[in-house]
Amino acid sequence: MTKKGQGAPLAPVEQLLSGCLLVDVTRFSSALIRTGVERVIGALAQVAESYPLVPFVTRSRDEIDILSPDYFALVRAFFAKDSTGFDSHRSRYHENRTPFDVPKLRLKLLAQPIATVNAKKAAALSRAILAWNYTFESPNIDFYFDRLEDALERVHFLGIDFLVWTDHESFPRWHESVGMTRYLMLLRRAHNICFISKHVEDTFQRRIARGWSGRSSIAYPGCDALGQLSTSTVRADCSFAVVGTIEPRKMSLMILDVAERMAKAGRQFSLLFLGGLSGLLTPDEAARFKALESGIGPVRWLPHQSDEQLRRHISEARALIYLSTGEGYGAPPTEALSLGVPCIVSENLPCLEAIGSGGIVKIQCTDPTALEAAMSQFMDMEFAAKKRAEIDPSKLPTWRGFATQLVEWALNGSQRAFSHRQMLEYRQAYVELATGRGNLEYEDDSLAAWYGRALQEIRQEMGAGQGFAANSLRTLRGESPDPAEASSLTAAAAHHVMLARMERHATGPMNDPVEWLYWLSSEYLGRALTKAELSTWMGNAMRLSSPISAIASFAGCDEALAKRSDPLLPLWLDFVREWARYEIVLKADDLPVQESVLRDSFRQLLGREPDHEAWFAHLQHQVSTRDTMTSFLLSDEHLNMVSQLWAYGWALSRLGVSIAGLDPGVGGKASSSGTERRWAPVVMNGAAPSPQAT
Amino acid sequence: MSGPIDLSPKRKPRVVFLSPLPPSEFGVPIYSARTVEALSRHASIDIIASKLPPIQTMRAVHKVIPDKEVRSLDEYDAKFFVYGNHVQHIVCARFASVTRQGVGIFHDAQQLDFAHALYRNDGALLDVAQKHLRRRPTFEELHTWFADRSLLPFPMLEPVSDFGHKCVVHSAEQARAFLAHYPHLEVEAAPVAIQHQPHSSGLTREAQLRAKIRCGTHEDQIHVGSFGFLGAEKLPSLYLFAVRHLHDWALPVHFWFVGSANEAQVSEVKSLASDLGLEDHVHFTGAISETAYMDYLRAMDVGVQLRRPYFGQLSGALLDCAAAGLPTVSTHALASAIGAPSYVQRIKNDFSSLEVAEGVASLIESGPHGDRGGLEWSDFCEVHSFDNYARRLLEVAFQ
Repeated sequence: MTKKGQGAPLAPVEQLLSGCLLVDVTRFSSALIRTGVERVIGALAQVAESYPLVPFVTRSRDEIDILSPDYFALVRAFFAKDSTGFDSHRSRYHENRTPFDVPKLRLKLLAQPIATVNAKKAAALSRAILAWNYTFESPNIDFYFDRLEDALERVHFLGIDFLVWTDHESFPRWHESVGMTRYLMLLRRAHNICFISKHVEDTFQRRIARGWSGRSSIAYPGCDALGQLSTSTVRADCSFAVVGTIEPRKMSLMILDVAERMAKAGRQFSLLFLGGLSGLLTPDEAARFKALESGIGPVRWLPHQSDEQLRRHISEARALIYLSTGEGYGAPPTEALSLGVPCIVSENLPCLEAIGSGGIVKIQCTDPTALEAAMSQFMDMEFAAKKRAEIDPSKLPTWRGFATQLVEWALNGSQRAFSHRQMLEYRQAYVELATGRGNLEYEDDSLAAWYGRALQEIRQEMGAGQGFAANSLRTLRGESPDPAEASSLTAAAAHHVMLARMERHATGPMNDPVEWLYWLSSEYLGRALTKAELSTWMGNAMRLSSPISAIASFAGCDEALAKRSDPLLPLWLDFVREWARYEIVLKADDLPVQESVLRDSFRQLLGREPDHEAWFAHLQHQVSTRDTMTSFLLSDEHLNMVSQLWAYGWALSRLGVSIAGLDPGVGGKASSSGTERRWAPVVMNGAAPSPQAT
Repeated sequence: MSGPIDLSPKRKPRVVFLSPLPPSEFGVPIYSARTVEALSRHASIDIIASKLPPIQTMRAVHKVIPDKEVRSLDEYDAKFFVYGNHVQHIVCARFASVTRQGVGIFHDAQQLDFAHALYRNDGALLDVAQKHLRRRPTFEELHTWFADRSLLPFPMLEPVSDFGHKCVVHSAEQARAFLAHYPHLEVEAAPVAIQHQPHSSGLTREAQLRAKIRCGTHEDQIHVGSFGFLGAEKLPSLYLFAVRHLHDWALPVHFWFVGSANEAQVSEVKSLASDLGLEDHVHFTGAISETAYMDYLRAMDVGVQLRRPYFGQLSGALLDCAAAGLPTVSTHALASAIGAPSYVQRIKNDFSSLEVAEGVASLIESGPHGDRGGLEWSDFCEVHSFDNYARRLLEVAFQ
């Protein structure tokens, strides 16, 4: 493939990185959080289909791992507002006391690299590098020191806040580290920094990097994380919502004192504290809030609320109260305004730069009398309606706008959003990168997979169909494809569209068997999908797991789904629980037990002893070199093992092993071409498998 | 404020003073010897000692009584028992436990090591802690208190808190902290006296330059010093982070740890300095003579004395910096504990390295400072003189 304006052909990875914006997701990938500054990644994911964004994690100071473009699709799903599915699964995990750290495990699986690239080379090829958050740890921080040496102009930081240094008394348990100090060193040397408020920029220039004269920008975070509503209706009952961690900085105790005093005086209102308890409260202070959790009085504390619950509580409030002695931005009031709810806020809150004064009552944040007066004002329906009418949510900053501004700033203002066609062409590099890995089990369908996802992204505009698939293939190869191949691609693409749809609902890929099982038994799936769709999905989901579960999926899913009320399903559920035990045992660092469980599982599944001694010996070796099984499970080795496990299952199938007397069936259709028998990508509704697979 | 205090028209009162005294070399004995000398201007002082004190102290006292020969202290008009967080003060507690009256002078804001030395087992400390906390703490908690005194939840005065003493402490905040945990005590504050008192002639710009030459600190560089024993409590990493900020702000200061230090701590700090690219700008004097110590006080451009506050504990090294007229960065708590003059720049008690660096930068940028001293300095030195301190002790004893 030749890039426009250049004579020499570029390798796929060079093609991919040329002119791209490298987005550092190292820190995000290490912890799955949807609130706070992590929303920046959610915002970038929103515009990832329009710009050449390439997610990466630092492998060492000299190398980075390029992640699949799917990463942003999964992040989008993860940040989806109505993620009650995830929440319910999580609570079920907790109820069952299983030790899975599902989010971390899943993220590790998501973040599988598709290429490892020399860091200096990647920086040189890219248009820019975006470091979105604090980066204190090696090798991440060393990577940036080196990049400031060899690609100063390309490195772009996002300056969130500097409160741990400037308002240290609010973070007394935050111990400064060498990494934190080196982070400030980095920023002082950086040429490009985007701040989340003028306040943060001023702090940086006045206190952190005195006299810094780099290139700065200000992008205000979005107000729409909880959605947008606009209503002038004021509820008859008067309630206030207080959002944020319960801690001294946010004046929680003063608010509580005022509320309790007003309630005692017979004022008719309710007030909800919505946020977790900070460890900075004294035991007596914490006890005051804990007593409110089970109370029925006008003042209550509701910790651990989902986005949906937060949205409801805020929307029903007469006003949101948000007081703080120090913030970099202060997002909760902006989100309340976006829901049409007025706010009582500290007069020095940085977010006021972005949201103006409509619907706002500003007070001095340590003044209880002012707070009482402001709350009293809102108890008057007429005043509340007037403040509500001042709000125009459409004029508030959005996360998409934030991400667009940030990306275009990092791309130096010269890069406009790609058309879908341009984006598809850009993604060709990804396609080549993926297909060029020589990974047999992915070789057949990866091309279709990438095109399927491209198709999904553009189908609204251009429509799905064989013609488009043919055009895509022509673009990629420079020659017209065989009609049968185009047909197969279309079917495979449709299959991946369906997968993506399910992924969106699941807030992540279905490669965690336990979560997958919960999904399997959900009413939603039973209603929404055909049997073939389900088995297709199961086959693919389980393929990413282990030979045991893969075998189970391919062998058992068809029958299991055909008889959802059949005793086979519980049996199968038992098996997956056994798989869970296998994972638990792995974590328990008990090889004999682990082996025993594994053997039992094979007996249950295959009706015989496992013949996988070499593989198991390898597993033992891997495991015995780890201090704990947990670190093993979360390690790259384990991730590699996942594919080895699949390979093992695949090998079994090649050898024609009959699995518990069941034919592999629809879930993972086995095709045969002499001795080249292999698992083919699955197609639904009876469509033909891809030509490559046959 | 000069001349003997008029305590009795007929005769000088007879006072007995119990404290570790030189030749013991740590801080309290030397301070007590100076206290005895100052007290002797107003009272007839007997001391109880197992060894003879230096001749200068001998000259000041009426009588030195070997501790094994003491039968009773009832004959004295006033009795002073000096307590510090050190095993050498156990003998004071032994006499006080018999006498059960007099004035207890507390040099430290907590007595954890003293209590540990006296009780000789952790279980007894946990028993004491249980009364304060209304639960039994774990051994791990106890160990964290030994590692970081700012985590100790109460001052651990139990070994001496029931001796019927009037208590003298060296800061109003320390008095408040003692009363908060031991409301039955009678606690008074006395401004701590300056041990390392330079003469005003040693504060001139010329004297500073001569000291810089002796200390090897170049005049065209900026030298920042922290004085006193270098231990973990001093939070040395924060000093280095602050130095890193200053370098990034084009203020390439040299930082000196002036005083003794344990080797492990020095090794750790050197490693940290290397990580931050400061290995050529961080220096250690190690243990030095008092003369050299005074030279470093003159040779530094700025001092930094920091510690997380607990129970109003004051910093003797900050007192030295203030007495030397050295512009110094310290916390509000430490500065107010000694009533520091305005050339001590106050930062928050819960400080970050950034705030330390800002304090130092502010002092550097407000320079050059020229001669040190002046009216504020002389007022400070007078308030913190041993004569004033002795008068205050006697006031407490006889009020």
